[in-house]
Amino acid sequence: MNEQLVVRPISLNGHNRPVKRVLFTRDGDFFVSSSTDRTCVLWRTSNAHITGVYKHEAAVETMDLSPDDKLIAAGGFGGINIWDLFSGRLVGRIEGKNYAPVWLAFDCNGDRLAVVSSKRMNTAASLRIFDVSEMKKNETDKPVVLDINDTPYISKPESLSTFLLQRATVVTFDRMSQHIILGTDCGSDGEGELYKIDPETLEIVGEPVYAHESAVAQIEFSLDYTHFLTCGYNDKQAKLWDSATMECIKTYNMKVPCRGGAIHPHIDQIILAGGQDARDVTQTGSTEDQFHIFFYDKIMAEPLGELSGHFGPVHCLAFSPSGKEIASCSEDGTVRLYVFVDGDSYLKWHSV
Amino acid sequence: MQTERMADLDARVEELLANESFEDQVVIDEEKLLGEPLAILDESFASIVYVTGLPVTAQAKCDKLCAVALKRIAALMRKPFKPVFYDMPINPESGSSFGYLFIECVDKEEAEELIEAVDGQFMMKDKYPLTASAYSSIEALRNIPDEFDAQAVRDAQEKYHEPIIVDDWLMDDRARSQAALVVGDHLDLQWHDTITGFDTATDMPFNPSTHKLHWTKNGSFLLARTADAKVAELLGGDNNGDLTTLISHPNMAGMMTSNTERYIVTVSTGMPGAEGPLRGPHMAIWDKLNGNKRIKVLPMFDLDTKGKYPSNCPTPLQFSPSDKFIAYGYEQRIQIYSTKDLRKPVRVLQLPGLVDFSWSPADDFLAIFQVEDNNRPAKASIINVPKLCRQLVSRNLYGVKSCAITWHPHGYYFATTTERAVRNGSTTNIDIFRVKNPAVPIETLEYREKKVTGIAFEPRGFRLAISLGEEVEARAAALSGEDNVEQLIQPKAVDIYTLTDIKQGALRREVELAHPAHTLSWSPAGRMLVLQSGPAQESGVNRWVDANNGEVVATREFPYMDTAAWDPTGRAYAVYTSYDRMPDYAGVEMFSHRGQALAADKIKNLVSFMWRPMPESVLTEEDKREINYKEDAKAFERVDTALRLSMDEDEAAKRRLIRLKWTDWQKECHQAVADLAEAWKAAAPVQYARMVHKDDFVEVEMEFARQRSELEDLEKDE
Repeated sequence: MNEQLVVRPISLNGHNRPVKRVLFTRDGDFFVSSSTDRTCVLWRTSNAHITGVYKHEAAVETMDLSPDDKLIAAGGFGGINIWDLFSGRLVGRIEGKNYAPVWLAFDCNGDRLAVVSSKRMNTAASLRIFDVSEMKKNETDKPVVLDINDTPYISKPESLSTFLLQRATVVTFDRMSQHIILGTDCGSDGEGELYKIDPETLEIVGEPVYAHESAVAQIEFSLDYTHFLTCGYNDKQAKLWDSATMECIKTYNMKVPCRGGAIHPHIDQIILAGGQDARDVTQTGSTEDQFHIFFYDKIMAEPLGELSGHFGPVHCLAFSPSGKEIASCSEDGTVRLYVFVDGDSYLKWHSV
Repeated sequence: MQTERMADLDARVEELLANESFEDQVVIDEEKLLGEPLAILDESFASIVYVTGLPVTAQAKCDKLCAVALKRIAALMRKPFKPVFYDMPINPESGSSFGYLFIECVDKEEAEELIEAVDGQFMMKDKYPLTASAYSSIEALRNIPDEFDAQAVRDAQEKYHEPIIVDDWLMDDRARSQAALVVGDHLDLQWHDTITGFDTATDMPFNPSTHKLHWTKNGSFLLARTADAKVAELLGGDNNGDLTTLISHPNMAGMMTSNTERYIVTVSTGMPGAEGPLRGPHMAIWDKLNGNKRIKVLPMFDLDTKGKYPSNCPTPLQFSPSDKFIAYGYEQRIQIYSTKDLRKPVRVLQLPGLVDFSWSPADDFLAIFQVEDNNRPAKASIINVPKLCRQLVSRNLYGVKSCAITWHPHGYYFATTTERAVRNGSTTNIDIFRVKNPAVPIETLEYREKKVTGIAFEPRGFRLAISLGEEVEARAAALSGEDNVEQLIQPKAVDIYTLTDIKQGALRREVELAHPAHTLSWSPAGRMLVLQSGPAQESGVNRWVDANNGEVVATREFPYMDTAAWDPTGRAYAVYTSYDRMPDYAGVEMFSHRGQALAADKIKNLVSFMWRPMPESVLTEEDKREINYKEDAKAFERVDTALRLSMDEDEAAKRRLIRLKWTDWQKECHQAVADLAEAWKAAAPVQYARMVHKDDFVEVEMEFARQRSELEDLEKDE
């Protein structure tokens, strides 16, 4: 526990606006970040160089990689762009007037894309599932353009109320894409909830689960999809859930609001990060270490250590599949890559 | 004779027992049984004394010798003495005396008086050492072998004067640190470990209002001084608290020990009624090895009288690191004494303008600072004392306003911090002397805008931390209502330089930190630096800085901090709040070397907390070479792991249960998923083949199996 973590922190400046999301590819050789500066950037892990930049028309609010590392989808106001990850070709575009995606996620084959959007003007909040298999097969330079209404999988008001969808913050597929897990912000009743939704009928399966006192900021599945991590933003908690029974199995208490988390691929550890919003900093007392990355023992739910770096709220964290790198992105406009210099040194954090 | 009597007695008892029947009450008259009372031991020889060590003379001169000897004995006894009888036996073979004399005194008391007066004294100046003993002890003395057996003497000495073992606490198998805590009316010696926390070693009654405490330099003893300023006590030994030494020195104002803890120096404000230097303020040096003998008294001058002794110096008397030399400075000169012979100084150095001097912590080098005088510049110099006080290096400085001298804790470097007046304002120079380099090169750092508030060398390292401040005007409204403007220097930033290699561009600024530091506190193991901000006795923020990359790894705020100190090994950092400062918060907070909170112990009535200092090492160079760090580290790690587990058996069991529950649950999940996958595979083989996560699952399953087997191995080991 007191062992020193030998880690090389690298600060990456490729964005000039807050960076919202960061994801590793499945082989861990690259990672992608998306920012509200209207771009997504592909980075090489080994040398942290920029390999590619994907330009969107609007600020990128949400981004996801298909599990086979073929596609990258980025959603911003006005539509979703889908590129071929390594050629950078725009293979598809989902358009809609006043369409404002909040979160999107690929299914386990990379054939479907689940998107939750918020209400803008006269376009209602919705959960839609698009078939992107055509785009995956697209070998031409001309992107496949879809209208948002071109899909049969649109949430119906009788199963998913508009009120519920307006609060939706996170959406993701569970193992083998059997269900969609939807996380919500707290509404007037003040509870962030988790819903299990059938991806075919878009109907709620089972009872909604009370998750956090505040918004569910992120849902992060473990590699084997048996459990997942949720971050409740303002309640300063992260929770671990059994994905089959939707029961909370662990609770991690943090000192600061928790926005992003990641589960270590091999070791029973998780990392959490966050920090107060810039607009809240003046209201309450703050310490310098609130933007650190905190290591927790996954099973014992005990803090193990911390890594410093960012000077703004951290939005998202990701472990590389080998567990030897951590990528983080923050409101301060930087992406940071932490490389464990001695490959084994992080093992010493493994508490007894 | 005795045995015969006893045998006779036994026979008579048997006879009695045979005749008398047991039914009757048997009354045994002891006197009747014993017959005549035992003879009283003959004491007639008790008044005879036997004196040896006299010169051997011819028979003719014996009478004269006897007269001389008796005269001397009378002189030694300080009273007219006339023996009842005396005899000097003559060797019939050689016709000369044996060199001894029998004297019969009036009674036993006088004989004892004679023995006490004469034994160990001399005759004819120092020529003949006399030994006087009672005649009755001749038998015992005869058994002393003629050959000197050194081993036997040593054995006997060991038997009767067992040396006080003072370093057994360093032999702790877990190499824990110790701290002395005064809690209420108790003195607790506590072991401290970063895993188990505090563990009481010794607990003894102690009155903090009458005694003042501090550790000696290597932590072997606790030096206690009574508040009534009469007695200094050294506590130590096997039980860590036994009184080993007691020194009485009236009007004691201070005390210290030398670097090897052999000599003790006490400072007294003067003994009225005494003569010579003891009358005024003085210092006394006591030799602990030599039965706490006072070996030197040096006059000490009034603190008010300026120019009498070096003004910057914490103490005018300083021991060299090897304790071979003492430097004693006063009135613009330094007297160097050799501890072998303190009668006269071995050397007197005339140093006009002397303000400060200090021994190197490692070598017998003495650094001296002299201030400017009319035509003479200020001068910093280092001299090699064992080599006839040869000057190693010196540097002249001009326009010096104030100065401070600092040694590296291992004597690698020496630095002078001087504030100098220049044409427009003032500048602060830090001159760094590389003492270990034979040429002793000097490098200079100059700060024009900022003020240097303090410097600190990294122990076991090659770095220098400098705290910088800015002048601010502090406005304090005095009671009179007038604004009292003061110039205060407020710390603002800290710079860290490395001094590793002179060839690589000499001094390099590695780290600049924009954090204030009133005190710079390096870890004794190096690398970590704690910046304590907030003036003493006020709330403070402590920042842990990793000097390797200049990162602030932890920041902690202590509203009621009294003092913070590193454990002498650099493993822990203690922050303590005493009862006097804030009763509700009294206690000790422990942090790891990287600022992680380890424990916060609330200790009611905490008076003081002191880490026990440690000697640098008890190992020789050969021993150090034999250490296999890699292997030892593994062994220690194993011990620590076991310790953490066994620390709280219940806790460990609980944790193991939680872990086991988790692994069981994981196994269940994986089984369920595997079953599901099988079902899918059977139902929809094409779809299943497309499942991207199939590979992942196999990998995870393998990983899981590996971890599971590891866990089982671990349990088996236990």
